[in-house]
Amino acid sequence: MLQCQSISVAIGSRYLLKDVGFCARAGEFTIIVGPNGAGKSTLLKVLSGEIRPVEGHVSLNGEPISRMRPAQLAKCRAVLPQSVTLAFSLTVDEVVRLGVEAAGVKGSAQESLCEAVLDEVGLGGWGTRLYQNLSGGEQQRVQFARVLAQVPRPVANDLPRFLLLDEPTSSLDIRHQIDLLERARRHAREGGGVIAIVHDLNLAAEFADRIAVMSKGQIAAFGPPSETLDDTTISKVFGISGIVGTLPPATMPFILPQSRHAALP
Amino acid sequence: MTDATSLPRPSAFRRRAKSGDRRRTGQLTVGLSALLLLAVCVLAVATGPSPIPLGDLARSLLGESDALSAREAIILHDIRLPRLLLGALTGMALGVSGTMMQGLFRNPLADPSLVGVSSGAAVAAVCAIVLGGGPLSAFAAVLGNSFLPVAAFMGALATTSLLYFLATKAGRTSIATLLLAGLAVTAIGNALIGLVVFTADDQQLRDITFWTLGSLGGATWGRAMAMVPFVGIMLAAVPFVSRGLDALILGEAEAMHVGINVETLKRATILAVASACGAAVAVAGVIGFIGIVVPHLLRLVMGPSNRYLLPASAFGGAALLIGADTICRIVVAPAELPIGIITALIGAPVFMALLLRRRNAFGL
Repeated sequence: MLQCQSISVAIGSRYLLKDVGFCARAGEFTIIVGPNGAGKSTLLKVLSGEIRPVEGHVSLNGEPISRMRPAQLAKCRAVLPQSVTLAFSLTVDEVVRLGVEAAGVKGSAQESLCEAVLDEVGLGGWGTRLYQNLSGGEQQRVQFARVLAQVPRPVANDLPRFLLLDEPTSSLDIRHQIDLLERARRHAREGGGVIAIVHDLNLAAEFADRIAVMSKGQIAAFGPPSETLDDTTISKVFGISGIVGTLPPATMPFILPQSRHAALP
Repeated sequence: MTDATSLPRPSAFRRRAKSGDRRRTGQLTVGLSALLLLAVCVLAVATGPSPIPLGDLARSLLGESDALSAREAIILHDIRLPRLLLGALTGMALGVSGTMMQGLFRNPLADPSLVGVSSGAAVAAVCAIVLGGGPLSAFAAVLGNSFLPVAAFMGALATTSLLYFLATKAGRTSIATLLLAGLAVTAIGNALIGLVVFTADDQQLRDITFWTLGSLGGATWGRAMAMVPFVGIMLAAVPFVSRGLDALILGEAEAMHVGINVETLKRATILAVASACGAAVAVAGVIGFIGIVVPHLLRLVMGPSNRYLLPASAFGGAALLIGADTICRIVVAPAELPIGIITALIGAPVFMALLLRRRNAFGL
């Protein structure tokens, strides 16, 4: 379980997160949604150990992450950033290998793991290509392969490992969005934990076991999609209304974006 | 997420990918640069105003005591070999420092001499020369041959830390700020050196002039051996920082995500650079561009992975410096050119080429 209690993060006098409690369970796909500037990325950075909160603490499988060494932390969770710009021109293989090495895999197993994860994101055989020459979506898939390589098994020593994905689908076409989220869900189904920030509310409803709706540095709603993506929450948080319906099976919400001016004469 | 329909996977391409092209190239380049260094060393020992035939040199190495004349033996043991060792150590220090700084600052334009680290070391060394006879004479007596390198190390450490503090904000280093801060540091350094030179006596003045121009001419066994621990510290750091510097290519947060203790990495790198650069400046003066030319050329051949780039930079830096020094010794023999002239003539065009390639990203 990856959880945090009464977390606050501030820049100067402005709070990015205020008294946030959050928990992602093993075996579950937890998706964070919310408008721009709601504090989603900040929360993910706190959970990954990248930002230390001014108040509150984060624990991973019962251990406070502030007391874990970076190498130890890297074996328990992997992080997919929104975008990565390389300072020097690495190949796809060299990028993925950074994840492989963090996993502690050695010898010839490194190469087979590299290949396996690249196969999983549909980039098998792309190892020698230069990362900087790939499209944005392809780069995102390479980074996802690196993340998968870092925690190749969802459970190790009876402890679940977590994937923290910051807008993993932002540059992907619709097919690869679904492929990636399915792969992440499989990690959860096999006993690991997944936390992802997703902007597409319908994808969130389709894939999430639980959804955290964030607004103004706080969690406005937290629970299964059917309980969190309702008219009241959506209109309160996003400031739009009248577009939430359900799909069969009757509990799954769908959200149809509408122009605010559509109703005008 | 397989995509078998749209992605052709010729088996040959796949096999090549499997063997990890770049790693093999990396290993090969490290080997070749070591061989190059060996060849340059042999040439440097044999070449000079008074050449030693290669055959005689080989027979002497094989243990034949009468292979060299008495004069040749003295030239070899007292002049050429200490100079060779000093050149090798200085070249390694500058080559590896350049690679490390570029990794740390995530930019191929960072170089100890360009951003003022060498200048900081020079100020400290000049102060040491002048104050070593006066207020600091107790330290000078205790440290002996190491006094100058230690002082230069402190100067380099202070400058590197200052530069990092000035140019890095929230994990991002602005290369423009870095280069401009380097200009400022160098200007302050030159002013301080000027001030100290103004108060120096004749012998001190000669010492100072010698290495503000950069030269291996003052090589002695003592000086060369005094440098060994400083370069040793840097070379010992290489295996510990290479994976971290590779991860840093992705970014600071990303390096932390894959298990690197970024703060420790930064401190180790700064310490290693300051140690080796300081010592190099102390014994050979400010020699520019080795730290930018060597890593740049090697990256073109082998890619930027520090695991192989750092060792190759050590060999390549040593080879380039010894080669340049050999040219300095023979072109106007029996006089000598300052080595900084040769390295600048080779290095500045490479730097300009780098600038041209990066000018869009640079906003110039």
